[in-house]
Amino acid sequence: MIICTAVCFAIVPSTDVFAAEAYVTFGSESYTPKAGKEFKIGVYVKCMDGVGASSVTVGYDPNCLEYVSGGSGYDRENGLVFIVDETGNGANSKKFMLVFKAKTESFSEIHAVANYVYTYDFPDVILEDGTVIPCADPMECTITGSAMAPIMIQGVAPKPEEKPEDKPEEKPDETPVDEMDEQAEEIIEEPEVPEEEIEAFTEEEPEAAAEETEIPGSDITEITSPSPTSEPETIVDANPLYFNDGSSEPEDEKNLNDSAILMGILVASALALLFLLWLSRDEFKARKNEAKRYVDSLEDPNYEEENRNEYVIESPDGVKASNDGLYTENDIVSEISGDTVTLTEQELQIINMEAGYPVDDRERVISVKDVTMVFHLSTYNPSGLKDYLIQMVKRNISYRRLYALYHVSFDVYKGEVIGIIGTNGSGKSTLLKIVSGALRPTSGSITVDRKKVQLLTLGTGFDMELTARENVYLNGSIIGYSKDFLDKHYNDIVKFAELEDFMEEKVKNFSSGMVSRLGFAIATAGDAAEILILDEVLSVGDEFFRKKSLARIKEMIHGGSTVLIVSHGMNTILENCTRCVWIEKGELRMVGNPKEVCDAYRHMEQTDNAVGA
Amino acid sequence: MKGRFSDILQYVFVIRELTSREIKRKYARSSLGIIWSVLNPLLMMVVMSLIFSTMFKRSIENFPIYYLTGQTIWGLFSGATNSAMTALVDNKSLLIKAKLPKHTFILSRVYTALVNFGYTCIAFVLMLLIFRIKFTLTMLLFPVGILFALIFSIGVGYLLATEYVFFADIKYLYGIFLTLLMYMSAIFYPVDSLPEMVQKIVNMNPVYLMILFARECVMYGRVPQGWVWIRLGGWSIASIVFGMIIFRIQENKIMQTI
Repeated sequence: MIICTAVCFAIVPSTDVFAAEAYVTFGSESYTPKAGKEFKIGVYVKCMDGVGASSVTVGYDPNCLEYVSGGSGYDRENGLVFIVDETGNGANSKKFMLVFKAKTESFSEIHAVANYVYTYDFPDVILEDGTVIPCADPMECTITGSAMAPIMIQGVAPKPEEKPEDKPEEKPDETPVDEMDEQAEEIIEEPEVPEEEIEAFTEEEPEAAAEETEIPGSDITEITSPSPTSEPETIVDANPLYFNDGSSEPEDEKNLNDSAILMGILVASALALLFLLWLSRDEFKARKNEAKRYVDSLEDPNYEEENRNEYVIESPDGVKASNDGLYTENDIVSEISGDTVTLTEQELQIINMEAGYPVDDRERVISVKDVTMVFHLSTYNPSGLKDYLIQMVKRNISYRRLYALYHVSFDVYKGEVIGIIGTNGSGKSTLLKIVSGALRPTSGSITVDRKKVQLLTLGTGFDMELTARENVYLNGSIIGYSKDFLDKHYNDIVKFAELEDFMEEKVKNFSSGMVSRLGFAIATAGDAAEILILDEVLSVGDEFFRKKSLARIKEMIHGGSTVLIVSHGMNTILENCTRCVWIEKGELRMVGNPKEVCDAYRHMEQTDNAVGA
Repeated sequence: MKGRFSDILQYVFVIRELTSREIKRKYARSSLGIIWSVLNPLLMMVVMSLIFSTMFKRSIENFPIYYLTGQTIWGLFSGATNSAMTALVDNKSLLIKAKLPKHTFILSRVYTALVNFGYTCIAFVLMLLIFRIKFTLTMLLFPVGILFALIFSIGVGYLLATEYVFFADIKYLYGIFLTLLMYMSAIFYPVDSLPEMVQKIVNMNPVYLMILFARECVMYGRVPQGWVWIRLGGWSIASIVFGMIIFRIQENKIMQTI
């Protein structure tokens, strides 16, 4: 008796399963029945949402197998078995047993085509919009035969992660414990293969046949067929589906993995961002502490000593000795003791009396007390985040503390015109910003009614793309004029700026002189505020306009405003100010009569130059 | 200054002036100018409809309107937050010199986005008429949805503007985040087509909620469901409170750093 191994492949491409997470599997990956015997194949319809109605069509090779029973309909000619079932009760899986008879021993596939699963809960939804979820991977068809030369029907295992625990039959790998296999083996015992059929088979499958003929009668037949190229048409038909679905499943899995990775990236970057923000917070705290420590260190008498020495050495000659002494003392006292205010006041009163002003009857409008402003500048500018991190890890990033203002105290009385001088970067603008309320000092305090303060700067908020007219309104609104006010004073502003013919021009076409004229006109259009701060306002424009603007400023001063003027033009200071404050490198050098202060300032400049030369 | 009221009036005036500057500036070099605010969403709508309407034929009726509703609201949100982010840094000089509350700049940016949105709405209303969307009373709820969107945007704007001062890279990060958010906002696809998990996430997305709100009351003539109101309100309040707190805490530091 020639025993040929015939193999059936049960390929389970769940072609169209219209339900979420639904698939169809066979009870076992492969079956090895004996020829002429009946064996059972378990068909499982599974759906996570619960199986309702289902329709499965199983295709087989009618040359090798013969359908016996189990389905609700069949087409023996084409090798199709139909299982239509509406009795699903919402359980996760539904089992059908198909009984086949093995005609011959050969390779054969059993495959599921056109599967429809309707979930139990929503029988209508799934057909329309349900996602097609493929069933299983295409499997390498490894066939293991037994001594009895069985037919192997190789099924496809369910996806391991979707395998329900209550189904011992569902194995990703071929296992002998398989219930269906056992059943199959029980049934199929006598392999009786008609010769003609084998011949027919060998004609069609020479390769497989060759392999088979090598091992006739052997106890253990192991045939590995690389490709399930079996003859029935139905299988060929199913193949495209098979490949489509088979390939789409790993893709799906891949997508899942991908999205997991993406989510991981997202979470990681979010964490990194948070971490960075947290770091910068930390840094800020550290800096704050540093500043505090620094301020504390100022109370160290040694430091003050140094400071005083420095001061005395550098103190200019042109100042009266008594004043000099007073200032120095003032500085030191104000830094050491808590009752800064009274002392400063006394000092100033003395100064003012010396300068010839009556002191007591005047109202103090600005009081700068012991103001220190610390800026932190990074000494290293990283080129990017990566660089920043690297440098941070290496601890290369440090911050330089810049004392823009350093324990500055002075008072301003109503009606005064105070000139503020100092070299570039000495802290004048910082002082003005603090006075106007734009900055809060690191330590010290300032008393001023911010509502009364008006900071005049030129071209604040000018937009080059807008016309002069639009800029008048924009700039005016920022300065604090109401719309009514601007409407009313618009003509005055234009007239003062002498720009009557240019108001509809874009400001970008203006010369810098025109821009500053317009800026000045807007800035001074209003009724003078009680406290006016002029930041380099007076040094713009041509000679004529400067005169005109000076006149305007003087007008405002006579109107009773208190004025702070920042300027590099000594003449402006000398001509207009009643008192002068000299700030150098953040420290208050001198307060007093403009002439004296200016002389001292010039003197310093000269000595500096001399040293430089 | 006479009092708080005149102060507020003044701020309103400033915001309006700043806004008009932003808008003039935005279109300073284009010849069509502000008309682009109307044209742009319309053209985008045409393009997107061409591409996607066949794809989602079955699940979205009236794709152009579906898309346009989403796009306009998305434009409002992304425009407002994106420009508010750089508000403080861009107006650095003003911030230091002018005696204005810093809010003004952020609010003016959001207001700019709102004005822009107003122009976009011209296109929107036009399309509603062309596609014969029936007027329903629920359409009156549309401004409420916009209000939610505004409040939410202001909060996010505060947060971003503050952080941008210290951490300029946030601009790029936010750009990426916006892209993610946009695709999660179901602007041009139906939410039903997403897996259930993703749907849940999308349903939490505040921008999607705004869009959903608008679609419900404009396209479908329904009052948005309770959970939409609750979530949207929650997001808006949380955002503005959080943004304000951060901004307040950092206010002085902003001035030092800027």
